[in-house]
Amino acid sequence: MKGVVFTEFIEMVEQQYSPRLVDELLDSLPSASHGAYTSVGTYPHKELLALVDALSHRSGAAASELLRAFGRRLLGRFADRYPQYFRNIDTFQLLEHVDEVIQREVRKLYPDAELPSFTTQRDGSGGLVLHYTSSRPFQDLALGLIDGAIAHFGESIDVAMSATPKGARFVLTKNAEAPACLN
Amino acid sequence: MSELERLRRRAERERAARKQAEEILEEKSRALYEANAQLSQSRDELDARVQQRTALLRQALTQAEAATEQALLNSAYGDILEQTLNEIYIIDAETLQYVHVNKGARENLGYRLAELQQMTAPDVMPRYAESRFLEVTAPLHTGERSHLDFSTTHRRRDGSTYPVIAHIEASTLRNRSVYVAIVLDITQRRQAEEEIHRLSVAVEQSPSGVLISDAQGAVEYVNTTYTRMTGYTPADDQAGPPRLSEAINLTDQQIEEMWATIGAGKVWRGEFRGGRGDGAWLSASISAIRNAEHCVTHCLAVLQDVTESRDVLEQLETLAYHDDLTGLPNRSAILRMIQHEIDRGDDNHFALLFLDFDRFKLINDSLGHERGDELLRRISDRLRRRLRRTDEVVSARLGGDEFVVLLKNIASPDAATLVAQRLLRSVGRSYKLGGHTVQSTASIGVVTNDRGYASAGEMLRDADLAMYEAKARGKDCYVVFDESMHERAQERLQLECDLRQAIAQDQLVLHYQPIVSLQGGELEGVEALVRWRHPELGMVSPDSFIPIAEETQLIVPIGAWVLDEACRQFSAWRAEYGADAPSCIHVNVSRLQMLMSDFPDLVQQTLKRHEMDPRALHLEVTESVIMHDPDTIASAMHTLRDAGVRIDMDDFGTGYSSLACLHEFPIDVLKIDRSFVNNKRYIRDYVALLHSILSLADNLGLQVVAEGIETPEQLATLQALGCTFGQGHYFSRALPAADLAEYIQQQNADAASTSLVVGALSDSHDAFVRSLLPGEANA
Repeated sequence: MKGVVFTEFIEMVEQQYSPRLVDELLDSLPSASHGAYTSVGTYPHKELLALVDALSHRSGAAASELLRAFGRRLLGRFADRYPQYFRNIDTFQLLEHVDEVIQREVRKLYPDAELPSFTTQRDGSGGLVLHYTSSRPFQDLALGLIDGAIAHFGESIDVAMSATPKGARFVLTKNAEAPACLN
Repeated sequence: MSELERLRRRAERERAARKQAEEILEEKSRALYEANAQLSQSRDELDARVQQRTALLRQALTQAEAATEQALLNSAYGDILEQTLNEIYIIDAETLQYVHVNKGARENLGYRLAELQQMTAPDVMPRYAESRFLEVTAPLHTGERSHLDFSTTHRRRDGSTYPVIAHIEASTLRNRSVYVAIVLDITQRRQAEEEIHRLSVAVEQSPSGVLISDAQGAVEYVNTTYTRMTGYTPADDQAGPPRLSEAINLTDQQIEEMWATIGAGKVWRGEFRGGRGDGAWLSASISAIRNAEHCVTHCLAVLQDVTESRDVLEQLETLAYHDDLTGLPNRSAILRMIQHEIDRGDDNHFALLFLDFDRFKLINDSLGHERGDELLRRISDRLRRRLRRTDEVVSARLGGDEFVVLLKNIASPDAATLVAQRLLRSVGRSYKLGGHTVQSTASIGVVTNDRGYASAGEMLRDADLAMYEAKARGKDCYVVFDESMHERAQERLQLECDLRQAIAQDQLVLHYQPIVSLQGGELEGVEALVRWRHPELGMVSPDSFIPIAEETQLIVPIGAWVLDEACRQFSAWRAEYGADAPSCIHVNVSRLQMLMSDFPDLVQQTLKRHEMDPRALHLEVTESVIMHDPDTIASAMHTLRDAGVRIDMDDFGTGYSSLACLHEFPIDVLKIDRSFVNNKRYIRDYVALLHSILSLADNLGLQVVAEGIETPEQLATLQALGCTFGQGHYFSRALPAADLAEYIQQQNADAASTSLVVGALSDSHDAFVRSLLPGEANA
């Protein structure tokens, strides 16, 4: 997994909790990287899971919740860094393009990365079904990213997640009301 | 984990992450540079080759214009054209059918020649429908253009595709209009381009700044991060290329050093200010890019922002070099500073003051650690306030209650002693801690660097020795170090060594000082005092070796031996002299012994061993020892008392006891310190004090022994005041066992005369003493 995910996660913990907690978490884990993560490096994804777990123990929040919150934050960071992918579209369109963008852009840069895939289907009643396939257990992260997208575009969409043998399935339904609060 | 440890680990992690980023970036940048160079080169080669082939082909066609196809192939150029890896196609300009396709093309496409001759050019180009192809080639057909160059995709027989660049010219063959196409499969080049794209994105987007300059210092490339970090962009409107010296905030000398370093095959590393005036710090790692001949052609700089890390390091330094409690520099810090002063050379005159707060332990133990810490903070404040607030004076806390003051640039050693005097007064004034007022003197050791120290440790040690001497001289003073203190320290060390052997070598012996009744002069008991017969030094006074014994815990085995020997001797006297023998024996006990949990057991075992009545044993404990650890000692005392042993409070009047304490402790006897008895100066006050002590003892039901009686006047005074027992040189100094046996015998013989002498003297001084007592009318 790319170092940028680790550095973003660490920054999130620093801001929402404290730098001291970061130090304690990193010191408590027997990781091969010894807690030294640079955004341009590559590290085993298990180390991220270990970090999330450790934070979960310390903070009392469930690991799935932490991953979800992280996903939300990550989306915001992507929107800041790559605004060109967020122009003139809405949540559904973004999700529909995400697979293509990942395959095309990300894979070009990191050909040997194990990337998740997203396939989408519009259902008849104005909703969207997203199939997330990945060999890694990051569906909560994906859920967070979706939350983040919805918040970024200021839309009001309900998301239901269910596990599938290959990953997860997200059913998105637009709310008929006017744009809701950004939660 | 301590704060220091936590910060250390954080700094370490950040350093490791930075190193990784540096390495990755450097690798990528280098690869990028090389890939670009290679691509450039292969493009150039390609172009050259295409040109060459085209020229060749043109020539062949011109020559074979009218010839048959076969002739073409058989011509001198035929082989070359056939065998070249370039794909060569000859296409009918009207039908667009393939007339001839060379081996290279056939193999790549996967078709046989016969198959291809049934196909048209657009069949192999998925991006071009026939109409479009005609459109594109129209200018060739009309002669408007001599050749076309474009890129497209070819599709193989098996459906796979590959990217190509094509160069087409119009020509004639056997009077037929043909297009001759020379096509190159650029799959590899595409891959190289994508690789470059990947790398440049990585380099461009990296969180580290990247700069590449040529060997003359002309900047060729900076990524966005670099610009963000340094504010530098290669400007277009400059006379000449952008210079390295403008791009990076290093001095010319540093840049020179950098080139020399990377030229020697090493990496140049340095930290410097960002140069944007925002206080940022950057760290650069610069290496060389070399060509095939191993000459340096470019320099590659990777920059990281280390502002935060430096903050952490600063915090680390502060923590590492400052004392948590008082905020003063700590031992490490002051040692460094001292060494710095030493290193400045012999002409630099400076001094150290080593200050120890005399009563700190006592105050800390009686008022508690929080108050003790508060006291330390107050002492530090006084040091800070009393001393000049300049760089020339530094106060540090070494630990415990020890402080060091470094005085730089002193005009003479007198300056140091002057400061020492001032500090004694200042630090010695009372402190209000909560509801308590405490006060203590200090002992200061002074040392200057005149004697030419080589190390800070040595100098500090000598200051410590001088301070120790100040304590020995009675405290509340300063002492300037001199060489003899080394000797004395050596002596002490040697003494300690020898003392360890003393018991085994039978060098210890007990002397006994008689305690007599002040009314009749009879021998009441004896106090056992330990003496040391040193083989070389002769008799070593207890004042010399008891403190050493107490510091080193040798007092425990020595004390046990003293107790055992005293009891043995006592029982022996009782056996030999019966009722004439002393009826009790007094043995001094140290703090360490009293604190040992098995001490009461040890005492009882010793008594049992010598079949001695516990009530005949008096253990003498000094007042300050009791006050030091009241709880533990009270418990030990009760246990001993319950077993029948008597407890005496020694040196009464010199410690910190309160009257309530006297009640709490199971004491039998107060031994009045000699300073009250043989004080020569303020007779009136001391007599009054003695009177009070005796009343006190009386009220509490305690016996009294006055120590240090030396003159008949003192004896008379005590008798007049009603003191019952006493000891001192007036009666007898401490005697070896054999001499004491004589004393016992003499006592019996002279019993009558002794008491007479005592009585006569007291008559003549009775009036004198009475006149001194307050409230008594003068006779």
